[in-house]
Amino acid sequence: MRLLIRSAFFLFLFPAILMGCAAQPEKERVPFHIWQHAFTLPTDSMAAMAVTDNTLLIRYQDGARLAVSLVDFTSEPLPEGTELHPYMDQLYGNGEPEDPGLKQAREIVFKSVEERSVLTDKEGLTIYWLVEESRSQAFVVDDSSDDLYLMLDSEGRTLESILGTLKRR
Amino acid sequence: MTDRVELLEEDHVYARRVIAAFFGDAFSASYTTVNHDVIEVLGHMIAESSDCSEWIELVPSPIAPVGARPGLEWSLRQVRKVGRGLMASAKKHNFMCLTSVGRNFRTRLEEAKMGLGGF
Repeated sequence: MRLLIRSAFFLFLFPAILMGCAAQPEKERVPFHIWQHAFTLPTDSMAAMAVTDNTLLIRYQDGARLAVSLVDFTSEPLPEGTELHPYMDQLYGNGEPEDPGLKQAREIVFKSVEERSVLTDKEGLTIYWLVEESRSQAFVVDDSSDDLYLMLDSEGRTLESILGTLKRR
Repeated sequence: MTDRVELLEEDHVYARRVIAAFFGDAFSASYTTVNHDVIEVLGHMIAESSDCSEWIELVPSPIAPVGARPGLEWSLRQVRKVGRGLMASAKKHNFMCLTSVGRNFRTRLEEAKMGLGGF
Protein backbone atom coordinates (compact mmCIF):
# COMPACT_ATOMS: atom_id res chain seq x y z
CA MET A 1 0.00 0.00 0.00
CA ARG A 2 2.78 2.38 0.96
CA LEU A 3 4.63 1.52 -2.19
CA LEU A 4 1.60 2.51 -4.23
CA ILE A 5 1.30 5.93 -2.71
CA ARG A 6 5.02 6.39 -3.07
CA SER A 7 4.68 5.55 -6.73
CA ALA A 8 1.77 7.92 -6.96
CA PHE A 9 3.90 10.68 -5.54
CA PHE A 10 6.51 9.95 -8.14
CA LEU A 11 3.86 10.17 -10.83
CA PHE A 12 2.71 13.44 -9.37
CA LEU A 13 6.17 14.87 -9.57
CA PHE A 14 6.89 13.40 -12.96
CA PRO A 15 5.24 16.15 -15.03
CA ALA A 16 7.24 18.73 -13.13
CA ILE A 17 10.43 16.83 -13.84
CA LEU A 18 9.60 16.64 -17.51
CA MET A 19 9.30 20.41 -17.53
CA GLY A 20 12.99 20.49 -16.71
CA CYS A 21 14.73 23.47 -15.24
CA ALA A 22 17.28 26.08 -16.08
CA ALA A 23 20.72 24.58 -16.71
CA GLN A 24 22.87 24.94 -13.60
CA PRO A 25 26.08 23.26 -12.53
CA GLU A 26 25.48 20.32 -10.16
CA LYS A 27 27.38 22.08 -7.37
CA GLU A 28 24.62 24.68 -7.24
CA ARG A 29 21.95 22.07 -6.68
CA VAL A 30 21.16 20.07 -3.58
CA PRO A 31 20.48 16.36 -4.01
CA PHE A 32 17.74 14.60 -2.05
CA HIS A 33 15.73 11.42 -2.15
CA ILE A 34 12.02 10.87 -2.02
CA TRP A 35 11.89 7.15 -1.29
CA GLN A 36 13.65 5.40 -4.15
CA HIS A 37 13.74 8.46 -6.39
CA ALA A 38 16.63 10.92 -6.52
CA PHE A 39 16.21 14.59 -7.34
CA THR A 40 18.09 17.84 -7.16
CA LEU A 41 16.82 21.31 -6.38
CA PRO A 42 18.65 24.56 -7.18
CA THR A 43 20.18 26.11 -4.08
CA ASP A 44 20.82 29.61 -5.37
CA SER A 45 17.60 31.01 -4.00
CA MET A 46 17.31 28.74 -0.97
CA ALA A 47 17.72 30.24 2.49
CA ALA A 48 17.11 27.22 4.73
CA MET A 49 16.07 23.60 4.63
CA ALA A 50 14.87 21.35 7.45
CA VAL A 51 13.52 17.85 7.76
CA THR A 52 11.16 16.75 10.52
CA ASP A 53 9.73 13.26 10.99
CA ASN A 54 7.55 13.29 7.90
CA THR A 55 8.07 16.73 6.42
CA LEU A 56 10.60 18.45 4.18
CA LEU A 57 10.65 22.22 4.74
CA ILE A 58 12.34 24.71 2.43
CA ARG A 59 12.53 28.46 2.94
CA TYR A 60 13.64 30.63 0.00
CA GLN A 61 15.56 33.89 0.21
CA ASP A 62 12.55 35.86 -0.99
CA GLY A 63 10.52 34.45 1.92
CA ALA A 64 8.70 31.83 -0.16
CA ARG A 65 8.17 28.44 1.49
CA LEU A 66 7.63 24.87 0.44
CA ALA A 67 6.64 21.92 2.59
CA VAL A 68 6.10 18.32 1.56
CA SER A 69 4.50 16.11 4.21
CA LEU A 70 3.50 12.49 4.26
CA VAL A 71 0.59 12.22 6.70
CA ASP A 72 -0.88 9.16 8.35
CA PHE A 73 -4.60 9.92 8.26
CA THR A 74 -5.35 7.34 10.96
CA SER A 75 -3.24 9.31 13.45
CA GLU A 76 -5.35 12.45 13.05
CA PRO A 77 -7.90 12.95 15.85
CA LEU A 78 -11.01 12.56 13.73
CA PRO A 79 -14.20 10.79 14.83
CA GLU A 80 -14.08 7.02 14.68
CA GLY A 81 -15.14 5.60 11.35
CA THR A 82 -13.99 8.62 9.32
CA GLU A 83 -12.65 7.30 6.02
CA LEU A 84 -9.90 9.02 4.07
CA HIS A 85 -11.39 9.14 0.57
CA PRO A 86 -14.92 10.40 1.29
CA TYR A 87 -13.46 12.78 3.87
CA MET A 88 -11.02 14.34 1.38
CA ASP A 89 -13.69 14.54 -1.30
CA GLN A 90 -16.16 16.23 1.06
CA LEU A 91 -13.60 18.64 2.52
CA TYR A 92 -11.57 19.59 -0.57
CA GLY A 93 -13.38 18.10 -3.53
CA ASN A 94 -16.83 17.93 -5.06
CA GLY A 95 -18.50 15.87 -2.34
CA GLU A 96 -21.30 17.24 -0.20
CA PRO A 97 -20.33 17.13 3.48
CA GLU A 98 -22.93 15.51 5.67
CA ASP A 99 -21.19 15.92 9.00
CA PRO A 100 -21.86 19.41 10.43
CA GLY A 101 -18.27 19.71 11.64
CA LEU A 102 -16.94 18.89 8.21
CA LYS A 103 -19.38 21.34 6.65
CA GLN A 104 -18.08 24.10 8.92
CA ALA A 105 -14.49 23.12 8.18
CA ARG A 106 -15.11 23.28 4.43
CA GLU A 107 -16.57 26.77 4.77
CA ILE A 108 -13.57 27.93 6.80
CA VAL A 109 -11.02 26.31 4.47
CA PHE A 110 -12.66 27.72 1.34
CA LYS A 111 -13.01 31.27 2.73
CA SER A 112 -9.70 32.27 1.18
CA VAL A 113 -9.48 29.80 -1.71
CA GLU A 114 -9.62 31.52 -5.10
CA GLU A 115 -9.25 28.52 -7.38
CA ARG A 116 -9.60 24.85 -6.83
CA SER A 117 -9.46 21.73 -8.93
CA VAL A 118 -9.67 17.98 -8.53
CA LEU A 119 -7.36 16.00 -10.78
CA THR A 120 -7.60 12.25 -11.24
CA ASP A 121 -5.71 9.78 -13.34
CA LYS A 122 -6.20 6.21 -14.44
CA GLU A 123 -3.65 4.99 -11.87
CA GLY A 124 -6.09 5.86 -9.09
CA LEU A 125 -4.42 9.05 -8.00
CA THR A 126 -6.52 12.04 -6.93
CA ILE A 127 -5.05 15.48 -6.33
CA TYR A 128 -7.08 18.16 -4.57
CA TRP A 129 -5.51 21.45 -5.58
CA LEU A 130 -6.31 24.68 -3.72
CA VAL A 131 -4.96 28.08 -4.68
CA GLU A 132 -5.16 31.17 -2.48
CA GLU A 133 -3.78 34.64 -3.16
CA SER A 134 -0.21 33.75 -2.22
CA ARG A 135 -0.46 30.10 -1.25
CA SER A 136 -1.01 26.77 -3.00
CA GLN A 137 -1.85 23.46 -1.39
CA ALA A 138 -2.22 20.02 -2.89
CA PHE A 139 -3.55 16.94 -1.12
CA VAL A 140 -2.64 13.75 -2.92
CA VAL A 141 -4.48 10.49 -2.23
CA ASP A 142 -4.21 7.09 -3.83
CA ASP A 143 -7.27 4.88 -4.31
CA SER A 144 -5.33 1.92 -2.96
CA SER A 145 -4.29 3.59 0.29
CA ASP A 146 -6.76 4.18 3.11
CA ASP A 147 -4.30 5.66 5.55
CA LEU A 148 -1.68 7.87 3.89
CA TYR A 149 -1.87 11.11 1.99
CA LEU A 150 0.64 13.65 0.80
CA MET A 151 0.36 17.34 1.47
CA LEU A 152 2.27 19.91 -0.56
CA ASP A 153 2.11 23.46 0.68
CA SER A 154 3.77 26.49 -0.88
CA GLU A 155 3.59 30.15 -0.06
CA GLY A 156 5.04 33.09 -1.98
CA ARG A 157 5.57 30.97 -5.08
CA THR A 158 3.21 28.65 -6.89
CA LEU A 159 3.65 24.92 -6.47
CA GLU A 160 4.02 24.59 -10.22
CA SER A 161 6.95 27.00 -10.32
CA ILE A 162 8.75 25.23 -7.48
CA LEU A 163 8.15 21.73 -8.83
CA GLY A 164 9.35 23.00 -12.20
CA THR A 165 12.82 23.53 -10.74
CA LEU A 166 13.17 19.86 -9.74
CA LYS A 167 15.55 17.77 -11.78
CA ARG A 168 15.88 14.01 -11.66
CA ARG A 169 19.35 12.62 -10.96
CA MET B 1 7.93 42.94 24.11
CA THR B 2 8.16 39.38 22.78
CA ASP B 3 11.30 38.68 24.78
CA ARG B 4 9.56 39.68 27.97
CA VAL B 5 6.85 37.04 27.54
CA GLU B 6 8.07 34.13 29.58
CA LEU B 7 6.84 30.63 28.92
CA LEU B 8 6.19 28.73 32.13
CA GLU B 9 6.85 25.03 32.48
CA GLU B 10 3.13 24.24 32.27
CA ASP B 11 2.80 26.30 29.07
CA HIS B 12 4.75 23.64 27.21
CA VAL B 13 2.30 21.03 28.49
CA TYR B 14 -0.73 23.13 27.51
CA ALA B 15 0.73 23.77 24.07
CA ARG B 16 1.38 20.08 23.51
CA ARG B 17 -2.20 19.28 24.56
CA VAL B 18 -3.57 21.86 22.12
CA ILE B 19 -1.37 20.47 19.33
CA ALA B 20 -2.68 16.97 20.12
CA ALA B 21 -6.26 18.23 19.85
CA PHE B 22 -5.57 19.49 16.33
CA PHE B 23 -3.16 16.84 15.04
CA GLY B 24 -3.21 13.83 17.34
CA ASP B 25 -0.91 12.47 20.02
CA ALA B 26 1.70 11.05 17.64
CA PHE B 27 2.31 14.42 16.01
CA SER B 28 2.34 16.35 19.27
CA ALA B 29 4.91 14.02 20.85
CA SER B 30 7.82 15.82 19.18
CA TYR B 31 6.77 19.15 20.73
CA THR B 32 8.40 18.49 24.08
CA THR B 33 9.27 22.16 24.39
CA VAL B 34 7.77 25.01 22.42
CA ASN B 35 8.95 28.50 21.52
CA HIS B 36 7.22 31.84 21.02
CA ASP B 37 6.66 31.19 17.32
CA VAL B 38 4.86 27.92 18.06
CA ILE B 39 2.62 29.70 20.58
CA GLU B 40 1.75 32.36 17.99
CA VAL B 41 0.88 29.77 15.36
CA LEU B 42 -1.35 28.03 17.91
CA GLY B 43 -3.04 31.36 18.58
CA HIS B 44 -3.81 31.72 14.88
CA MET B 45 -5.15 28.16 14.77
CA ILE B 46 -7.43 28.77 17.73
CA ALA B 47 -8.66 32.03 16.20
CA GLU B 48 -9.23 30.48 12.77
CA SER B 49 -11.19 27.60 14.24
CA SER B 50 -13.36 29.82 16.43
CA ASP B 51 -16.30 29.14 14.08
CA CYS B 52 -16.11 25.42 14.80
CA SER B 53 -19.05 24.86 17.11
CA GLU B 54 -17.56 21.66 18.55
CA TRP B 55 -14.64 23.75 19.78
CA ILE B 56 -16.69 26.56 21.29
CA GLU B 57 -18.52 23.93 23.32
CA LEU B 58 -15.28 23.16 25.11
CA VAL B 59 -13.58 26.54 25.13
CA PRO B 60 -15.95 29.49 25.04
CA SER B 61 -15.19 32.54 22.92
CA PRO B 62 -11.68 32.05 21.56
CA ILE B 63 -12.21 35.21 19.51
CA ALA B 64 -9.18 37.00 18.12
CA PRO B 65 -8.86 40.79 18.42
CA VAL B 66 -10.98 42.36 15.67
CA GLY B 67 -8.95 43.62 12.72
CA ALA B 68 -5.62 42.51 14.14
CA ARG B 69 -3.53 39.38 13.95
CA PRO B 70 -3.34 37.51 17.23
CA GLY B 71 -0.14 38.52 18.98
CA LEU B 72 2.04 36.45 21.29
CA GLU B 73 0.38 37.52 24.52
CA TRP B 74 -3.13 36.87 23.21
CA SER B 75 -2.00 33.54 21.80
CA LEU B 76 -0.43 32.47 25.06
CA ARG B 77 -3.62 33.32 26.96
CA GLN B 78 -5.63 31.18 24.54
CA VAL B 79 -3.18 28.29 24.70
CA ARG B 80 -3.39 28.34 28.49
CA LYS B 81 -7.18 28.53 28.48
CA VAL B 82 -7.66 25.85 25.85
CA GLY B 83 -4.93 23.63 27.29
CA ARG B 84 -6.50 23.80 30.74
CA GLY B 85 -9.94 23.09 29.28
CA LEU B 86 -8.70 20.05 27.41
CA MET B 87 -6.82 18.70 30.40
CA ALA B 88 -9.78 19.18 32.71
CA SER B 89 -12.05 17.24 30.42
CA ALA B 90 -12.08 13.51 30.95
CA LYS B 91 -13.64 12.97 27.54
CA LYS B 92 -11.47 11.94 24.61
CA HIS B 93 -12.05 14.53 21.93
CA ASN B 94 -12.18 13.93 18.22
CA PHE B 95 -12.83 17.13 16.35
CA MET B 96 -13.96 16.94 12.74
CA CYS B 97 -13.92 20.70 12.16
CA LEU B 98 -10.92 21.54 14.29
CA THR B 99 -8.67 18.88 12.79
CA SER B 100 -9.60 19.91 9.27
CA VAL B 101 -8.94 23.59 9.87
CA GLY B 102 -5.77 22.92 11.85
CA ARG B 103 -4.25 21.05 8.90
CA ASN B 104 -3.90 24.43 7.14
CA PHE B 105 -1.39 25.44 9.80
CA ARG B 106 0.66 22.26 9.89
CA THR B 107 3.46 23.73 7.79
CA ARG B 108 3.62 26.95 9.82
CA LEU B 109 3.76 24.96 13.03
CA GLU B 110 6.55 22.71 11.79
CA GLU B 111 8.51 25.73 10.59
CA ALA B 112 8.07 27.42 13.96
CA LYS B 113 9.27 24.29 15.75
CA MET B 114 12.35 24.10 13.52
CA GLY B 115 13.21 27.76 14.06
CA LEU B 116 12.28 28.82 10.54
CA GLY B 117 9.88 31.46 11.85
CA GLY B 118 6.14 31.52 12.32
CA PHE B 119 3.99 34.44 11.24
